[in-house]
Amino acid sequence: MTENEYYNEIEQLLRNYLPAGPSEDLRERVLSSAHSQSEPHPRRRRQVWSFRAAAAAVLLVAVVLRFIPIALILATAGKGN
Amino acid sequence: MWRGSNIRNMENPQPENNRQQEGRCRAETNVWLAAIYDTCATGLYRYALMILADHSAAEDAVHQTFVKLVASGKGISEITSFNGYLRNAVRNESYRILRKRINNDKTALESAAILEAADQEVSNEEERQVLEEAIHSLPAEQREIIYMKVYEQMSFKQIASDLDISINTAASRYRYAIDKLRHHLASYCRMEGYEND
Repeated sequence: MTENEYYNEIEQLLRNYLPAGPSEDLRERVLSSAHSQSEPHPRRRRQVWSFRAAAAAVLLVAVVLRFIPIALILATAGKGN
Repeated sequence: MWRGSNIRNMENPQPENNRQQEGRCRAETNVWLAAIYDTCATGLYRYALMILADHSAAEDAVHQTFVKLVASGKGISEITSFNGYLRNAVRNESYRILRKRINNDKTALESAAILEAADQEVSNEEERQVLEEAIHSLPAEQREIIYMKVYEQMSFKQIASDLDISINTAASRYRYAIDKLRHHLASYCRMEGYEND
């Protein structure tokens, strides 16, 4: 048996059958959910906002803490004069 | 005065608000998504089904591929080879599902048939079942290459390029798959008059 014959026999048998196609529902599922799943989930959107608020608070505290020593130095220097 | 403002309104219609724009974008996206789905989905589904050998997993792979396509914001014009792009995306998605299935080992395989007769008149249920069992016995990479070579009629060069492997690897993977199928089908083939070497 040649190599081609070796392949052809099974290939022919396989070609008598096809992998099954998708169900009718899949089209509807794809078209209806493509948008909703591509957008961030509302809970995820809330999480993003809470992270932003927390970051802003941390930044504010850092700025205040950074200026407290300067204000103290200025205050003591003012008293000394 | 009144007439003039009316004409101005007709020439410069009111700009769409965000909601209207979003609705129009969605409608446009749905039109091209439906067109792409109708053109490519059957081939993509069959490809995923051959890799995963499971209907619900194949549906998930195709579904996720389209969801990610919309989320990427890519339009038809941005993707030069659409079929190639989607095939690659379905392949990645299928192997992701397969890895998850192996890691969790929870997903029970469906018993629904993955093969259907190409021609109902010459179909043989027993032959179909034996062939399906044989295909289930192959690893995913070999099932994939069987699909590409037999059903898509791709050359080893095309397969190698698509899968990013050498031509020799593609050919030997196919040879192993055919050997395994022959081995599995041996008794049935003898029964049906096929010659074994």
